[in-house]
Amino acid sequence: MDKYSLRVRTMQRLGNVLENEGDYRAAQTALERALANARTDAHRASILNDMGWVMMQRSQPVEAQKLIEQALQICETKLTHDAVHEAMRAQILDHLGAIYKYNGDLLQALDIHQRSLKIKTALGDTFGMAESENNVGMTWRTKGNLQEAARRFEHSLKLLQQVDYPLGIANGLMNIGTVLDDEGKLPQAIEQYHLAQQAFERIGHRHGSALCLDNLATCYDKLGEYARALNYLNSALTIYSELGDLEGEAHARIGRSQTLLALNQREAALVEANAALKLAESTRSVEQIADARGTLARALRANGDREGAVEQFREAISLYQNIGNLTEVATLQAELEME
Amino acid sequence: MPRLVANRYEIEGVLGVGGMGAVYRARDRESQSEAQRIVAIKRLSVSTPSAAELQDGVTITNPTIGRFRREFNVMLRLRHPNVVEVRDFGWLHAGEPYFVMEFVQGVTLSTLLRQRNTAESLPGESTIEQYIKVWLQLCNALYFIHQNGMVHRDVKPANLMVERAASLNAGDNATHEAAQLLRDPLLRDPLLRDPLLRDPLLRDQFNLKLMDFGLARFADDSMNLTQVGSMMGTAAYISPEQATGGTIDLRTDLYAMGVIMYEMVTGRAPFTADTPWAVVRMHIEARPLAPKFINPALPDYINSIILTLLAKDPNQRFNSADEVAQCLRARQFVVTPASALTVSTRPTLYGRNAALKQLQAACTASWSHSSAQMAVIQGDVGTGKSALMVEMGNWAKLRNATVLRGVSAQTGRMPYGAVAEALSTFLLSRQREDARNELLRDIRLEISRIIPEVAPGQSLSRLNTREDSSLAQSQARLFSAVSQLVRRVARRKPVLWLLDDAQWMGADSLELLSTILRSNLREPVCVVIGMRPTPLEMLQPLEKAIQPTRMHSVPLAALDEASTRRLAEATLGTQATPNAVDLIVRRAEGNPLFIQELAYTLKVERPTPEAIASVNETLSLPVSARIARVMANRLSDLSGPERELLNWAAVYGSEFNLDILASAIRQSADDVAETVNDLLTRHLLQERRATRFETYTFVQQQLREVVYSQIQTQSRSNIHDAVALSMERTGIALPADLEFHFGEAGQVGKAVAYGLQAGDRAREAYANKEAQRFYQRVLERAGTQKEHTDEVAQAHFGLGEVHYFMGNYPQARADFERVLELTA
Repeated sequence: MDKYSLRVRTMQRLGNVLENEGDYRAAQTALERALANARTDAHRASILNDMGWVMMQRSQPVEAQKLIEQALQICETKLTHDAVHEAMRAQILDHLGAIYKYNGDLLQALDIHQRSLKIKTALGDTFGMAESENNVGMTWRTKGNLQEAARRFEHSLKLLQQVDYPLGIANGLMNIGTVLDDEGKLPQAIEQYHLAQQAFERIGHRHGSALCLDNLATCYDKLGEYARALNYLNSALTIYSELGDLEGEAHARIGRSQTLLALNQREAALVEANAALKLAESTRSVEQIADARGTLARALRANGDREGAVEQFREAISLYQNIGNLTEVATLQAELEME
Repeated sequence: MPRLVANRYEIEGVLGVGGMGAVYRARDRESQSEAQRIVAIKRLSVSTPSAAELQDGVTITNPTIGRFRREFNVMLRLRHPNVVEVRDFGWLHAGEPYFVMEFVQGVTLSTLLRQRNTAESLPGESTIEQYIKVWLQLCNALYFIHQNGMVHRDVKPANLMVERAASLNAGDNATHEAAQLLRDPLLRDPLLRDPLLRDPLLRDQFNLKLMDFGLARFADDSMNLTQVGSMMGTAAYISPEQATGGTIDLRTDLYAMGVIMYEMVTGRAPFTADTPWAVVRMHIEARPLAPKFINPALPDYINSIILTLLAKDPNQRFNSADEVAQCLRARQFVVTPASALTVSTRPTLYGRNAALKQLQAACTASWSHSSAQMAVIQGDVGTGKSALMVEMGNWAKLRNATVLRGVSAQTGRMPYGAVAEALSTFLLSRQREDARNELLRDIRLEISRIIPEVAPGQSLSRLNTREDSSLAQSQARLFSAVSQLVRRVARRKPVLWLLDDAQWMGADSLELLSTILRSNLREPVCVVIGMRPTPLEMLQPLEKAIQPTRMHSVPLAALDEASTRRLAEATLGTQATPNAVDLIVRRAEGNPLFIQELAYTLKVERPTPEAIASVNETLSLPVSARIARVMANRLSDLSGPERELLNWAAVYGSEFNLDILASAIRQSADDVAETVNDLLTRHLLQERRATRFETYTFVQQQLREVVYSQIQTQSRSNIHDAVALSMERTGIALPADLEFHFGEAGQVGKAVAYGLQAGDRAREAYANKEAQRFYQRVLERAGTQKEHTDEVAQAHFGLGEVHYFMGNYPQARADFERVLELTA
């Protein structure tokens, strides 16, 4: 690698490092600097792709889409179709598909993920194929076609079983569980989550295990078995705390607060909701802060603090509006009107 | 087969087709002598070079070419009345090698024995007397080729031609007669028309000629016990050490001679069964019925000679064909110590039965319950770890298992070291294309990260993509693919995985091995690790991967006195006097290597007072230093060229490629091969089998260290330089090796450049610790020299990448910022 290319690659990598450190603005600046200095089309495409992803992290999906589409265009019109470039194209498509899905353009997202799958199949990248099948499944799930989603998840799982990739298999089992969960087949979903949890345990993947426990709690919650749900949430919370996963911890505490409310343990629910909000704020995740505020609002309401509840409902609605989650906006508004 | 070979030999017909190839009758256009005009050409069906390689004269990329050339160059020089003369060799356009030999007018001993066995009862006294003449001629032939450093490896009646005596000295008339016969379609069965040949063994007028010596060597690498089909004709004569993949030496041929003698006097082979596989097993495990029991007319001394030749342990056989001949001539069986060994022999394992049983039990448990098991052999230098592993390998092969082998190197050569080496050798050397494709189905792309040869031109070099940041996932995918590969190998046959010198295994290799063990809990995979005493923490990742009940510790202590005595006696052979053995028992402290080194010293020098004094001098030193001293004494006995070659080999590394070394020394490969042969016979070097290239190693790592320590610094540096340049010319050397040798030669520029390559290769395979080590070394070598600023920047970039992948973002940022400073 010549000195100049090394320099540009380093700028790009600095951008990646900053992104991983959560300093998105600095990451964007570093990547823009790299882009301005890039001399090859491959390099430009790669940097644009990274820039797009940073924009996603900054919750600017429209800008993200533009950047990644530029990257794709370079790939498709200017680069040779060798294995290296094709692998990059597949990856760009994966990002683009995720953005379309985020933006609610599910048909477009499906098309993009299928294109990525085709490239990975041609490359003989079995792991990548499983990943794309999974992406397609996720999109069908969001679209509400649970049957197709299940079919895709199962195909992905089969591919992963062929290459015996334990982490992927555990994830695949969990994804199938979520579809069953969505379909309301709770006993089957519970069974599936248990299988997934065991698979995560076998490979020592504690985070995956905690997610399964979290999902199991949700299932039992839906079945009205709150005490059991609380137990699972406690186990998940312990793992999240040990791993230092603030987002997970916040999520578990939100769940605990809701379950405690269902068990009519109002004061405890309020304590949990406050703790969850504190954690959510430290994660800087808008969606999670909104979730925590919504939960806090309900806990306050249950404890008779109507004013406080209204304030938290309003804050939560505003946050959901910011990130475009209209379903939650509608739900909370209905609850607010009841107040 | 073309009608005209090498524009010289006109093919006239086919004489026969065998396992190794076909034999043709041909006329030599250039022969000045009518007697030599008719020749036999043998076309070998072995793996050979491509036409392009032949045109380029490349000899390194295909080890078979170099071996073939060297073997036949030796054969061309050999002339003996009891050995079929080899006159020429070459390659056909299709790349198949052929060689031209004298045309022997006669039949094979195999044909004659077949006739006799169907027609006659057991041979009586007078017939046996005639047989002795056959055996003496066979002894002559074997002694001659052994003296020339060759081992036949495939002695059997089908490779022994019985030539009619009338043609021996009759000159052109006889040849004319032979030529007439050749035109006769009945030639292929001359017994039908030639009364003389019908029973030449009962007359004095015959000459026995041994043919095809050394050829079996070409089949060895691709042949194993699972391919018994290819061993149909050979199974009856195979020695136990051949069958188990053990060390082959002249005594292997003596075993085959014993089988032939047995067959001749009893009319049956010592071992018969329904399948060649069963016969092979009997050669290894069963005791033959005494030939005298079958044929009471057999004199006692011949009965004893045959049984001695058929001993399972080569140490219990004769030491040379000449010793056999002497006994036959003397009509009594007395082993005469007069003839010193011309080819060294290696005793088998002594005093390690308990360890061996422990290892076998671990394997058996793994294979019978389809579970992963691991055994760790720990012992000091010279305690016999490697020998035990070799023995285990042989034992496993007999049980139709797949044996994977890898040896860790102190300098670290390829990402994931011995673990990857074992798989790479298995995939690239021992698998046919279709089988390899099946093993790599769905995982080829991932495996290509550690074995790039499995997907030439296809492996995905790393792009600067965001997804690379998910190192844990990328590495998990790679490890998962490798685990899957091991599982597939184990599903075909149980696996014994031998990893020697594991004290030098890096953290990345240990992590990969741990993952494989974790994921192979339900496959018959037994891993045996050999290591010098090492802090226990090193094994922690492995201990976490496997249940304690599946982990076995096999410590190797000193041999007891009885074992020491037996090993000393076996190594000393005919020179095992009580004095010498006692001396060894007193001084060697039960260290097998020390025992053998002392024995070799005493064997050369005899137990003279001076030799004993030289051994006593070392008493105040620790055992390893004393071993080194004894080794050094042994080295002082070498000739100039032998010593020089050893110096080069020691600098080269733990193993060397003959062609590269020859090129470095600037000698022909044939000359170097000759010296290597001498060193093989002196038990200083050994051939490393089942590797992709023709490689040799010191018989003991410490021997290399002793040789290396005796080379002057400047000389070392020069040799490193020449070796590095020679490796670089071949284009097949690993960047890590080039980095090491150029570094030791003081060639900073090249060392730095190859260090970067080695680091990048390790990084692309997610071997982060290894990558870090290479990049750090680049920084150390380059120092603050301005001319290496670019390389320093690249090393920092590499380190930044590794830190980034490992999630160490502050350090990664520091590295990347340094790159920007350096490239500003």
